[in-house]
Amino acid sequence: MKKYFHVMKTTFNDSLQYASSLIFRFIGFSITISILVSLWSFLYKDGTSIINGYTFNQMIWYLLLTEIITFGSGSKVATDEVRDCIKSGNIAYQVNKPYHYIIYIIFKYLADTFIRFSMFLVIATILGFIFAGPIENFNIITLLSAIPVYAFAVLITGLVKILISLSSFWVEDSKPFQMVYNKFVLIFGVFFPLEMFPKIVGKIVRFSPIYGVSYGPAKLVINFSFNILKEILISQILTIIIVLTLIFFIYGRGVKKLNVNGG
Amino acid sequence: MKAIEVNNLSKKFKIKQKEKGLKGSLKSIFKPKYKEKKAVNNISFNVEKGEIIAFIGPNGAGKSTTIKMLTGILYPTDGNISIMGINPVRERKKLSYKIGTVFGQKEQLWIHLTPYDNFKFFGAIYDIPESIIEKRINEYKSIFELDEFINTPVRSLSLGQRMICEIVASLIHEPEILFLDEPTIGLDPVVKEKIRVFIKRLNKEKKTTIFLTSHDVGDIEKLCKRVIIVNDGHIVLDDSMENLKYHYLNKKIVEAKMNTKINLDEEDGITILKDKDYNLKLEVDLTKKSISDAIKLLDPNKIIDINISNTPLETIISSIYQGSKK
Repeated sequence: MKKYFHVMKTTFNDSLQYASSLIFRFIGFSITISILVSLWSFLYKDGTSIINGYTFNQMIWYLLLTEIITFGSGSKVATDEVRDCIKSGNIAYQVNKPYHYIIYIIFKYLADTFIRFSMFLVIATILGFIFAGPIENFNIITLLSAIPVYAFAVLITGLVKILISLSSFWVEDSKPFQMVYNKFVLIFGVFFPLEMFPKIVGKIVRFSPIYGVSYGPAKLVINFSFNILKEILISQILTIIIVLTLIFFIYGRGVKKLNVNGG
Repeated sequence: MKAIEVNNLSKKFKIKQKEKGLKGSLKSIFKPKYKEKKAVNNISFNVEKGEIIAFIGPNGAGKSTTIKMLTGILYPTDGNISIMGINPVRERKKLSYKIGTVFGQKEQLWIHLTPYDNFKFFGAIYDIPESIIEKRINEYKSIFELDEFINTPVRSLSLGQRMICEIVASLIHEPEILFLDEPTIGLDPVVKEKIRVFIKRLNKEKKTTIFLTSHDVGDIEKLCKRVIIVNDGHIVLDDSMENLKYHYLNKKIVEAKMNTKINLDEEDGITILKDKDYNLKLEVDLTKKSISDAIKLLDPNKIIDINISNTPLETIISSIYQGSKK
């Protein structure tokens, strides 16, 4: 295990070399948030104080809390790196190293994400205070509960992306699948809370990884209850177990069919 | 003790085939066709501990596929491999501690980090204590004169400097066998020589077994005592460098500068390779004719300058590749 923490340490070191490039992402993030805040402001302008159970303050914080995960876990390690590694055949040169490639890539992703996530968390908090003020009824219990839930959300986001990237063993390009998944997360989790969709959609989403990576964590922070916490943690842990099992199974199959021609 | 044992090793690949044009592309989506290629075909050989062996062949001969099977990267279709008694297919992780690999055309270093950080990383993943990593880094620092660039990000290093760092990174865990796949590709003569000297020293001082593939005859000539030549997936020659030279160097090249133009007729055992102005180049088959026969043919009184040399190793190897053993 010690070696995987060294992978994290090296990734921190590596990520810091290009941390300044994140500034452009901050600009993109701020623009996206500003546009969405303007849209919600417009919808709440006609005197409506609650839409589908959400106050303006809750809606803006919901948006920010889901976008933190989207932008904060946008590391290319789980997507481009895994995909390119498989397509170029470079993965072959990883399998004879004294670590498991999947565990190596998970730790690398977590280290890379930690820096991004921390930075986006700071930016989002500032934007939240500017656009909506402090989160209503936020207290220390909510904060302590949010830590494991957000950590699992970041982990699930990476695991699902790795799982999709592993399809590159069989398909020419996994990017379209990645895009479709991202769009689902945006529509059914990030932009709109599940309460805005027909009940059947909400039920389906609750049984998908999307619940644990967007709606669930954000809902917990803006409307904390121990029941929601329990529900989210169970969902997240089950998702992690299922996705990890699939990852190891697919990776094992993929490596066996690996062909690396030529020099 | 045998470092490498290979018995009846084969590897087949399925290669996707596509007909030309848009129609072909569409057809390949719905009805893909595959062609089977036997990259390695039933090869067997052994390598003793401490040997430096050249494993060479033309492009597509199967040498890189073989090296990848030996290092646990690819699964063989048939046959058995034992590396220091370890099966690369079943015990990849155990094997990784015993071997080092350098693939001249693949980078394993983190390009944004310095060589020093990279060496520390590779040391850590091989579970080497910090103090020993430092000791080894210092050792290689003095051998390769790394001082100048050990703290420069890898992305800013020259190709030669990068290759040296790749070799050091693969040696940080002091492997018993080092697999080098074209380690000197694209390097200048000074760096090539530095790497060759180091490989020799490594083999002599630490008894590291070296398994080398290269297209550079200089690497093979200067480093290896034994050579295995593969072509089309088969071993076409497995012999010592001494024997290779002895058997294949029965031809000499005679280059002469004449003071007048002479007309030569080829004889059995003497082939005219070049006849331009006053310069002549002959190949003499020593099993049929002697050097003095060739000189007599030229007329010694008309010779201004003469040079007698062996057939270059490169020519010998090329002729073996082509299957026309001279």
